Amino acid sequence: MTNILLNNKSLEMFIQTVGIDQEEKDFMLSKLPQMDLEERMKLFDVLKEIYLLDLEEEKAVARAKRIRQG
Amino acid sequence: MAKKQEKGSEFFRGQGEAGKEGGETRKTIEVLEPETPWTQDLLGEEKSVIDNYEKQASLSTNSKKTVESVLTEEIYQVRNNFVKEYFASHENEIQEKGYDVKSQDLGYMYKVASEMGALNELKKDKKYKEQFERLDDLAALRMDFQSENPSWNGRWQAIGALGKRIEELSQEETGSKDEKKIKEVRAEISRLSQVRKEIAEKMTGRDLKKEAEKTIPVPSIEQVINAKNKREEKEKNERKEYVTLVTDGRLYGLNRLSRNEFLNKYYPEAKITTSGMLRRRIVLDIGVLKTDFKSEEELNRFILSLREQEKQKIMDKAELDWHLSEREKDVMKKMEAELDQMSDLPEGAIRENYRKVKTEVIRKHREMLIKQEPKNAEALKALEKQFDGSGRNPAEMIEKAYNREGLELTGEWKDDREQIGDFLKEEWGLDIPEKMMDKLYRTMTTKEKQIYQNEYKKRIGFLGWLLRFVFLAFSEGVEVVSAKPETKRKTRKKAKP
Repeated sequence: MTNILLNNKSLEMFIQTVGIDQEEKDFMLSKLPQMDLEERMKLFDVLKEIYLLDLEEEKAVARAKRIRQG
Repeated sequence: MAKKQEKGSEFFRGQGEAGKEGGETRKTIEVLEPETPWTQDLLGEEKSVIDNYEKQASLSTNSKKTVESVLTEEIYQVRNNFVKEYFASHENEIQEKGYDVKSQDLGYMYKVASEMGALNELKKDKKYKEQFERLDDLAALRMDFQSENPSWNGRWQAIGALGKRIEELSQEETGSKDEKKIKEVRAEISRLSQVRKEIAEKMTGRDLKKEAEKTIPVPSIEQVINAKNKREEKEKNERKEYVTLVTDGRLYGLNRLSRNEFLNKYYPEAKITTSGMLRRRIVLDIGVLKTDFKSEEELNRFILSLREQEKQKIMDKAELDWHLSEREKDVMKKMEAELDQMSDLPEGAIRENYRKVKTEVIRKHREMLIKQEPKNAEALKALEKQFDGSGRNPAEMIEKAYNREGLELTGEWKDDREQIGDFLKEEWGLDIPEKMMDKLYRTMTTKEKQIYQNEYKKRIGFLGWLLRFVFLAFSEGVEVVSAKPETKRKTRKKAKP
């Protein structure tokens, strides 16, 4: 049985999705195979946080523009 | 015809005044709480993720109230325009129902439109999309500014909203010939500008006035005098002639003045006394200065040179003041231009701040990863086996939980357990047996349970709790079967208490 949230493939996809520098992504990808369950949960939390910030950033930019322009 | 006319004023509780066009709106609007039923279900949005990282200096009550009133005013404007548009396009239906279609009372019109189902149309009809979106944006921002500490993004939006209002007022000022109105508009621009400055400075930690001052140097006294001399070439030549005349002692004669008349005219502050019987000494008292003169010529020369110096000093100071006040105007202009730019182009600043926060989140994690001991070959092999297999991008799953797709939670575990179980199975592909769901919930700490009970309505709070729940299952070694998403599950109705 594999963990659909924390397995290598899923986390690789998640790392590639978030809006961070490629250098950071490469670093995370290089460390991923060595990560145990606990470490993967921590990585997931970080990626989740970045992803939420990504989503929010786009909304914030769009709303700030709309508010200004009317 | 107007059989229901009276309902409007009762419903609006004085809203008719606020609904009027133009300047009257501004006077009454601050004390009124506008009805915004179509946005109510969109309000109550929690603060942004970024607010967990960016601690903001608190804003003054005046600034918050000012932003709130600017937004309230626009909410009324948008809503009134919608109601008028609705009346114009539903004339027959309104008439058929016995309402007064010719009414201009916005309170009455709003009430009628509400009863006719206009609010549903506003929400759902694409032709009203812009108005609906605008009301939603304004109402959400206003709610943010009614809170204790407005969000980081809300502050940026407020700078934009103030910029928009300042621009509108500037246009009003340019187009008006009414002196009184111009004065009022200028005062309002200045007030809004001050609020915009406060918000911008507290957000960015910048001192915009100081920054502007650095770009516009203080003129040196030489520069001031040169500038003055250029402008006052003629006067300067005249002064030269005057000084020449004075130094050769012919001034009295030329001006046909007595000594006292001369002094009175050119140096009224001076008090002259004569002293000494033998020598005609004259003592000139000017403040603390006391000078002894042996002849009138000497006195004349001194007085005139002193007067000239004094005049020069006064003029230099006036000149410097003029330059400084001009500079101050330039500084303020520069500062306002910077604020306008912040209002007009916030994208760069917003993106930069998100980049900064993300970098900080990663930095802490990176430091932790660097410190980790490398694992041996056997452990690596075991990990490879444990986390092998096909994957699915968790970003999609996160978004589904963030958007609370199909979830109508109550905050009561026994009522929500099944919904959450179905969500995890069908959207996240995790099949946790029902009895394990209960066991895991019981295993959670009181604080974790409280997070669920308090945050179940919030996007970020619920997502955080859900991950905690799932991770607990992983940590407890619960047999989580990876399920494939099946047919779209039905949205559940809220469980009845």
